Amino acid sequence: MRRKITVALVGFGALVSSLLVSTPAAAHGYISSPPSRQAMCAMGRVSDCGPIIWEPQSVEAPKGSHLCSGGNDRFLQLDDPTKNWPATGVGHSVTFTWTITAHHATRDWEYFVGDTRVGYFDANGSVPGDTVTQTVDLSGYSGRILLLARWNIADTANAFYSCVDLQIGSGGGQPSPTPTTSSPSPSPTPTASTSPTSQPSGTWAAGTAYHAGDEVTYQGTTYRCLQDHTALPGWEPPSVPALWQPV
Amino acid sequence: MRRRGLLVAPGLLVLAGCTTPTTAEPKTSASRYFNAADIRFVRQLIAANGHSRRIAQCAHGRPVPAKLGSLAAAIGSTERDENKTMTVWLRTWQPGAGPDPAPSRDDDVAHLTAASDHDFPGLFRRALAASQHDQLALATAETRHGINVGARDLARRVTRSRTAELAQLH
Repeated sequence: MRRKITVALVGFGALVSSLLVSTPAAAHGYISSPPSRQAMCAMGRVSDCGPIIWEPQSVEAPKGSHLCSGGNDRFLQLDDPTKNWPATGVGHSVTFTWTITAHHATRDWEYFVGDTRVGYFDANGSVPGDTVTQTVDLSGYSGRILLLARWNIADTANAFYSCVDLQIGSGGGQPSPTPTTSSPSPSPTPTASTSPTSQPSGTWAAGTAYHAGDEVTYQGTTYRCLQDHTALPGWEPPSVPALWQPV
Repeated sequence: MRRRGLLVAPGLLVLAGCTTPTTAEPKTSASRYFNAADIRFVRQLIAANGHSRRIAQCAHGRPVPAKLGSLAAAIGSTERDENKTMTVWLRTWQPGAGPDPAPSRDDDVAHLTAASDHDFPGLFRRALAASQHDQLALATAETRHGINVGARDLARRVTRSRTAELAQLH
């Protein structure tokens, strides 16, 4: 009798303590396939990750960060480039699976490689199910890349962050080139190695001279130039309201 | 007895944590995490941007190449935007704090004002490059030591834009 009670108490204690561990940030979501950095930590494939091993779904921080931790100081280990993050081998089209543990109204989903947004999925405030799968075209990339995904919540200022280390195609290779100054006559690219940053004319491009009144598109939004200038990296239209105004 | 108290408390915590996750975040959460390096970066960059804008303004009415003139004007405009944003952050983080008062390179403006039209373009180019270089150093420090999401994002943009600006100025 006495033993039974002890067992019950121990069991209950374990339940409570596991709840305690996951309580502070509540439960939310993360990319489980291909395994994100927090998934690698939770699976024990990467060690010394800190508290993320208990709650890979809780990398919550204000929207807009390009950090794997989102800037959440509880999970800064996710930003550590010196950790030996395993890269998952994939093709040029990659399907990501999110495991959702709290069904927040969702604004949208974004995928980045460096500063380039390579995937965007509008959700219009809808509520996701237990899993969400999205396919992102990474045909401009080869070799090892670090992909950052953001799940932007509709009714809070926050997003959930997941970084995935990927090895694209076979062999080594470099991450995709960043856009340089635009060449006057872009030659057609017969191979499949188009960079995702090379877009139809009218798209904002660093190195282009713009005049007040010119219109460009950038990440699906049209902007009007307010002041003559030559576009530079770091002067992307959404970042410099003095130079560009959304139309 | 003690154990019972222990069991009840986490139960409440769990309820509080799981049932209202969407309303718990204040709108100002963007500035919740910051450290001394973030404050230093913002105060110093506000001052440095103010300085390069004063330099950029020296080009008014001077015979500078059109490309240099529009670059300087765009630098002035983009840095004014940056300062607006950083001033709001600083007000949230440390009410009453202003830009870093340390005077830096004030002589530049005096030299430019006094320079002849012949000497002006070269001096202007160098003065503007020096100030953009200072800003690059501030961004590098923020990238290493800062933790605030917004400030770190700004530092990334400053690193990219100043690097590109310097390439145009040299």
